[in-house]
Amino acid sequence: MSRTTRRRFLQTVGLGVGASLFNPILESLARAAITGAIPRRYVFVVEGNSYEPITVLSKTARIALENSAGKTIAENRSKRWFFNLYTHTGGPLIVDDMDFETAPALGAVVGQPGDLSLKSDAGLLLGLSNKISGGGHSAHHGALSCTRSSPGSPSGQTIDAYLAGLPAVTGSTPFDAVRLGISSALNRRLNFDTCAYGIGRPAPIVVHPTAAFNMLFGSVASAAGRASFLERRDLLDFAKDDTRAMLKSFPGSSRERQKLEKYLESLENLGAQQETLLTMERETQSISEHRPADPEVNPLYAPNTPPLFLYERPLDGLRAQFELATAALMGELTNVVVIASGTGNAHFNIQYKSVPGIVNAKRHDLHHGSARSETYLKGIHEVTRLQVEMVCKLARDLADTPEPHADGSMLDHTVIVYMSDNGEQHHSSASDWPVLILGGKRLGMKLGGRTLIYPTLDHDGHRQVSNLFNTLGHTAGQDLNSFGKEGPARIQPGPLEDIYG
Amino acid sequence: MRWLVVWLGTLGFVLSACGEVPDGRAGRVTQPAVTDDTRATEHTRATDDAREPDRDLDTDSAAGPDPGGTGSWTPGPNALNQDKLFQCNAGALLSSPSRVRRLERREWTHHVGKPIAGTWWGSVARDNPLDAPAHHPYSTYARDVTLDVATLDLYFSVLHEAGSNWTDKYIPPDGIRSYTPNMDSDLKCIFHSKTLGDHEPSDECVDYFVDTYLRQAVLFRPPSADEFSRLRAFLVEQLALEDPPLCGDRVCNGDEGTASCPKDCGNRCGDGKCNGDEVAASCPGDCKPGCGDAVCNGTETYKSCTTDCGSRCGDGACANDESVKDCRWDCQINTTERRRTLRRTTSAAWLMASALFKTELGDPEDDAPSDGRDRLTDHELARALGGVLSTRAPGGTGIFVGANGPPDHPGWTAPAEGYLAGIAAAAADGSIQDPGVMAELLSQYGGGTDPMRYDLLLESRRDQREARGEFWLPPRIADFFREWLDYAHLKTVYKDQPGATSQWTTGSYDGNSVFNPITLAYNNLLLGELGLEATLEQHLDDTIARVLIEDTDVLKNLLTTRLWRAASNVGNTNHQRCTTDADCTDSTYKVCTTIKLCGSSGSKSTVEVHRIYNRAKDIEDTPEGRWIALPEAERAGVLTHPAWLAAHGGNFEDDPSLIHRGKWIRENLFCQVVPPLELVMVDAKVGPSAPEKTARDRVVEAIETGPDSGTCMGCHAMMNSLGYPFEIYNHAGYVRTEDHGKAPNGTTHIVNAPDPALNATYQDAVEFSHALSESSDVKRCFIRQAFRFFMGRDETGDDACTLAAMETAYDPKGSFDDMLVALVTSDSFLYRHHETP
Repeated sequence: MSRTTRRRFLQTVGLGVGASLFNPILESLARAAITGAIPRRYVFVVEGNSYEPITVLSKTARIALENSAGKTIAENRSKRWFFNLYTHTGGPLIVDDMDFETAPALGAVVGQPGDLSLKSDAGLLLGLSNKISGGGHSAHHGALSCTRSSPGSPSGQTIDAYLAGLPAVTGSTPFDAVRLGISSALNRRLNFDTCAYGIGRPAPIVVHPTAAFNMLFGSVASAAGRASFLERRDLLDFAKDDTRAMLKSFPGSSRERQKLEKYLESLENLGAQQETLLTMERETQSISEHRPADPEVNPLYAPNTPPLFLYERPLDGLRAQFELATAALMGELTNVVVIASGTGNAHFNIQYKSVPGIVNAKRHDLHHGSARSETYLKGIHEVTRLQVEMVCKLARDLADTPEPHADGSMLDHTVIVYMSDNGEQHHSSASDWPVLILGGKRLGMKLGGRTLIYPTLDHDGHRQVSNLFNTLGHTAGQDLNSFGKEGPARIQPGPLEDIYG
Repeated sequence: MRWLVVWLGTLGFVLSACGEVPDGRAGRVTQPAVTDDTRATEHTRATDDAREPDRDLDTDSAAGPDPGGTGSWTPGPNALNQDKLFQCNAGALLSSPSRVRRLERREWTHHVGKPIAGTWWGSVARDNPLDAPAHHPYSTYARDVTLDVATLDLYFSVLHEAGSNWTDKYIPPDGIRSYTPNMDSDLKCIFHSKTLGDHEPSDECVDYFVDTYLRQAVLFRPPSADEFSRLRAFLVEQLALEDPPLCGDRVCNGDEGTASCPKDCGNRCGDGKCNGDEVAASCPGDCKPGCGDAVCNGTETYKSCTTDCGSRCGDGACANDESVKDCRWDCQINTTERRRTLRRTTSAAWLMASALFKTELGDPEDDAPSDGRDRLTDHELARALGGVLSTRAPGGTGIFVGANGPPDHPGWTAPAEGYLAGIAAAAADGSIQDPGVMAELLSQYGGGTDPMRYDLLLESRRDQREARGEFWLPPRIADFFREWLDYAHLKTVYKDQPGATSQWTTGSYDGNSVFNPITLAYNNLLLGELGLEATLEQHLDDTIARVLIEDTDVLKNLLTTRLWRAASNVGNTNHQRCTTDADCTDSTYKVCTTIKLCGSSGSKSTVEVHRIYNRAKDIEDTPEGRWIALPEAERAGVLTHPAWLAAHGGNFEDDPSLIHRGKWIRENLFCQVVPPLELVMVDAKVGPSAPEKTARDRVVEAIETGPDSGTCMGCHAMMNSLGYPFEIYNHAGYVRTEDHGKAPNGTTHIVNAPDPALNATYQDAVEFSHALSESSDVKRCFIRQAFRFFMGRDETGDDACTLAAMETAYDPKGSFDDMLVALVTSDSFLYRHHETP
């Protein structure tokens, strides 16, 4: 198996030593390398409108659960979620899976012959609740923030934004976080309904791959991408000149003057970010080295008449976003990524025209029809399987890549979380929130190829999605006992001890 | 004496149990900046500082207990002595600090001509990041509000929408058209042209576009010469960057012709046209006999015989027989390129500091009076007055809404002169400085009745508007009540089993408690996703609007009205009685609902919405039917409205909601201080839920009778007794019928109200609300809250004459409008001074 050839940081510094003296990014990365700061990366893959527990339940786990509950999971279309069987108490039912591949959607964890198996880097969690979020078709920002939120109106900071605000996570990457996705709303470029910087401050997800490509790689990409990149520079230059002119004759107090000066500073900083991207490209080649093929020639984007390809092949659109996310991580553009696959009420109703059997139905109708249609049911589960395949490809790419600033692979320093934005079913009650986790060995994650089934609500030992986020916080040295708005509805503080430590 | 702080916060935690902490120990308490004996040492003007109340007023018990705890704390304007705040000393010079005010999210959205509610337009403008900081008491506060780099980065994600209504005469991608670019024929030259000479817009054309755009869509005043020239230069630069027409762009344009670019212009024998170098001899199928004889004659035209007639698409002239359809370049410029140019230019305009920041600097040229104060300029005053009324700017152009439009201005949200056109006109002719004119303008745009609710044209569909109350308020006045009563966040407050302890608890769908019909109805009341009825928040909006439009004894009526706007629960039914689904034969209404009427598929989320008003009887889906009179024994005024109760309630029915509600009353009706959560020191919480314990029981046990009661009550005495009356309602505002095996208990005994007349025993929230409505202290606090919102800053001692004038104006009739006129014609509103650092 060939391992990815990757720029070794110190070597590159050596190649560009003169310029690096004036480049704060290179300098701080050098310091991090010397002082041994631990690289930390987080990837949240969020499936809109649920993925069902039955798709991630292996045979071994199923037997263990049925034995524990004293009941069997019926083999019919109505038994795809079964949190009422999690009746054990005291702690999770821990199943040392030897057969992830027997779960309908988890085959990619083990992979094809010759692939690197991710089994020991994987963990599957069942039974976590997130009642505060409300469930329904989508919990919107509540899924990642443990709050009650509505479209465009978050009630709290989401976990990705929290982590992206930690210097120990972001380091010197130019983007604190990169949020990508797809949407059923083909006229939209942005989804404001899943991530948030804080109360009332949604963080946009770029739901068009071409726009995302231009955002990340516009500085070195096609003529169109570069034009878009330069357009922003023109606008920033115009605004800087304008604000300076206003300041020149501003008669107000110093306090009011500071507002304008702060605005000018923001314009300058954003301009500096643009220049940083150009500098990184010029001096380290890290961006162009990992840059995916240009949308104009990349088969994932063809036919290149947006949004047509997103309509015809939304999963290719998602693959394109995974490709960009992988490149952004490897190119050190960011250490926090969100990939949202149709999250939020306005975005989830995707028509998977490339998935056999469900080419004519949209997601909402698929779910409603799945109680009667085996074809629809298989189609929904196939979508989950394909998405796990993408998650695992991302994980494998990182596992194949040596960590440039520390020991181990990039996957060892990256926690990948695959979850839904509403819980266990189409009309979710937020009672069970399946989560597949990969990676993070060197950050303290101990997954070990296990399935952990937590006791259901009102049973001793029940745990919540907030405990999962607290676990991620611990990997970054942060205690998140008060994250979100569960308040007294938080059952137990602390991380999930069985997967961390 | 240092009080000890132990109070149950928003999540039910007791966060402190601090005693006297000796100086120098860990956890040293920093003395609050204002204590009972604080005295002013020097006169200061009004400041724009929410954290530094003016020191020229004695503070009093309103300052509240010393919270102990860590960190410094200044208690804000509630610490000021209310009686002294209303004592006007004749001859005082009033003014406010000069300032620049960054636009707020809703303002920006409306200024660029996009909707705030709903996403049905496909616009993301409302997702702009210009929300007011959460720590400000009102969204109108401007202190330190600017654009940090994260906000600016987010702003770029919506900036492309800022001018999208102005990039084409025709319908832009999101379908929203603005009046001026659509109707002003003098702007056509910038969008497209009929002659070659106009492809490069003339200087006059560029000037007109820049001036019009800045006046009507960005600055809402004439631009300065500098502003104009900067944007003009940018537009000219962008025009120069427009790509020349390319062969292969599918448009026969520029210098292309059938010979030079057959790909775009066509040149194939057999295509039915005699073009290129074809002649009758070489291509008889296309060229009729006679064509090719070098004479354009008979029935020949440039289309049928280009060779002879010479005129052809691509020659740059739009001939009479050419049209945009068959010869786009001659008759219309490359709109993609031009749109891009205009999008960049309009984006640049919306990055101008003077677009994002409204100025209130005053006119330095105006030296009367010569006392260090500057009166607002005509246009500054217009923006300020407009800001009191609306999130739209005076003179801003209207939006096309098709058949939904009002009859007097068909299809447009505003008349040709724009929004608040009277204010814009008064600014233009200077008459706005006349107090009488300002009063008239407030009256003109101050709301009214309208069954079609045209004020919501851009925000709601016609059938949704028809379900709203007929009383409408200007958006900013409605915002004041939403923000003061603090119920707009209602839909974000999670409620477990919203019907718990009420008589409406039974039933389920699919055996899942989440699909309890009451839960479904409650959730739909919050979001309004199914059906056309108004949301719970809008019910309170409309109820308040009625009181305001009647404009008599406004505060008293707000606190006591029982005539409420509600949602119909039968809107998604066909009114046909049923016993089972089999009775429902209409294919649209095939579900026999829980109220035994045939309903649509969405009806299970709407047929129980009336239970929140404790109604057994249906609420009819008629304009009159949606106004309901609530039982005298159950409700009285806005504090008993479920929207307010739920917004200030916990997640569970036995949560300490009463503390949230009591705290709100202490701070917002009494204008007194309750120390903030961050200053308390020790974590604690109410005991666990138990079947026999009510919320009141849990609070009493943890705070009032427990081992720490002495310390806890230091602060909780400010809140608990004010919240107990509301225990007759649950956490979501449903009327309790039992409470953990006991009768609901709303009794309280109040001993520490600022108005001694309120110190009494009350049976429940109904009786308490009536008492509050009679209190002069409560009225003064209400006036202070209005001052804060509409001035966008805290009141100070220097504002006493303005506050007194507002009270004098309000008192005779209880008129909110009269009070507002007093405010906007006061010197606090009209004059500015420059603060020194």
